[in-house]
Amino acid sequence: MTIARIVFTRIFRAKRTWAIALLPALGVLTAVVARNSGRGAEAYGHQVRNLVIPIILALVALVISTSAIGDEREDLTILYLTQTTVPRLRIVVETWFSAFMATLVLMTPAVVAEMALGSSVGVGGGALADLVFAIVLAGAGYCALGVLLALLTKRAALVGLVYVLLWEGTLSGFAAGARNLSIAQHARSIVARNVDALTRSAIDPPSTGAGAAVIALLVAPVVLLALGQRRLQRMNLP
Amino acid sequence: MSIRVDKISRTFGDTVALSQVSFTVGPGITGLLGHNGAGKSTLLSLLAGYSSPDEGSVRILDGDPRTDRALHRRIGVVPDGQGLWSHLTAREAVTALAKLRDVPDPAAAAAAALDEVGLTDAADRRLGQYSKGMGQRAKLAQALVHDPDVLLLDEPLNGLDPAQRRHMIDVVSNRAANGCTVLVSSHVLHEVERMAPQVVVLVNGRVVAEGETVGIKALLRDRPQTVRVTLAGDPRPLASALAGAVSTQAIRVSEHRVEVDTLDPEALGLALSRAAAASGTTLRSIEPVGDDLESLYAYLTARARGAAR
Repeated sequence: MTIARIVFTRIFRAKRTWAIALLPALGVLTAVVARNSGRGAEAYGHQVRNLVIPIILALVALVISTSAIGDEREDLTILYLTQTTVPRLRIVVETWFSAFMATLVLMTPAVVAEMALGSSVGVGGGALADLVFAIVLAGAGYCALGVLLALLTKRAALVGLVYVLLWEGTLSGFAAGARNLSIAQHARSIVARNVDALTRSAIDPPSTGAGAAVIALLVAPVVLLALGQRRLQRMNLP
Repeated sequence: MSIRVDKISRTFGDTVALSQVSFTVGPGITGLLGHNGAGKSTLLSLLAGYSSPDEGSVRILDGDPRTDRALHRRIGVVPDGQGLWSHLTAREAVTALAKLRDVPDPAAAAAAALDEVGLTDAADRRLGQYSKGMGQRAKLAQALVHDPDVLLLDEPLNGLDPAQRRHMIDVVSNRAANGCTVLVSSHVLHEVERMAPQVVVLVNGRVVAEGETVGIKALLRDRPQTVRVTLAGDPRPLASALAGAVSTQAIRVSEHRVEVDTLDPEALGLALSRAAAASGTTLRSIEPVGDDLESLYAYLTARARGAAR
């Protein structure tokens, strides 16, 4: 895990990381407000559906992962990594892994606040475990997407933002095909599988089942990182 | 031969960075000389496996540096300009790279490499706090840490003061004396001359000369040079006084100015002062025209073209 350690320590020394950590802080704040709103489990559903997964998680994961490999490309320290006996796949996977771990660390306050909100309004333990599970799987997917984007373009963070806002935010709302390629939609399927009807309607999961969503979110990082490895192998540096 | 480059070409959009470049390099130090933009860094990046040529092939120790991962156990590279991770200490960075190159005892190897480049005392400081010269030495340490058979150094003396340069040259020379193949790029002839007995000269992406450095230097010395003399009054008396001097090959006269072609600038200097005295001319300035690397390279290019015809 030599590469992962280098990337991970670098992530937490970047000012950008602390700026993006404001988003989970916002999640904590809104969870407290929602708890006092008296809207019960519905408020939990709305929080998860509209803020925690599609905005906070998506942006934290994409900013961290695109800069994890983007910074290596930018200052060309990636040259030193390729000038080793390590296979390209390991460079890609370890970079992804450290971005993923950093994302989970940064998301912890928001997730804990959401769980506290959920348990205070009567959401069951199983459903709260589903929330954690969904955050972990979706975080892995967003980070893999970010790593691939950063290998494909120098404007990876911008492309990631377009994906989150246009593809996931708008297009997947009415196009079923787009929904299948939306990480946030699959995450919602998982979050909604053990909640009551009212909370479920607030989460508004897609019609594809939670089982399919788990499989999709497990396959996504594998495919995205395989594409990343292929790209790193073929790209001309610097 | 440790390095074998066969008819490689590389273009970036409309710019031809390298065109049909071929040469071989064996053990010892070989200089890769060329002006800025001649294609040196492009060539070294192909040799290091960072990128692929559009045409031709690159072989290092009979392997392809682009695809053969194990080969990087035997190649050390100092890329131009790019520092190591600024948030790590030199020891952390060099140890990490030793690990990633399968060195049996990475910590010990890193300590030895840092000692070799004279960074033992600063090894536990963050690279972000290093001066340019120290950063350059840290880069050399990471290139040496796995004891490579081939060293590729892109402008390693950039940013070093004279004492650091001497030390860097000593380190590299020692490695070469122990059988390492070293290819070192530079745009400064006398730098290359100091460490490399062999040289490959690159001009606009083409090899225009290769061979022993002394030979190439003699070639450069023997070329005709132009000296421009600016003066106060009529240039014609000076020109006619100079016409008889043996050091003069050709003279061009314009208003307040005389340009003289010569094979022997020193003799011309003497002849000039005599001619000025004899003709009663006041000289304002004497300057060589095109006595820089660009013109040396232009001369070599023209020569190479002539030889090809």
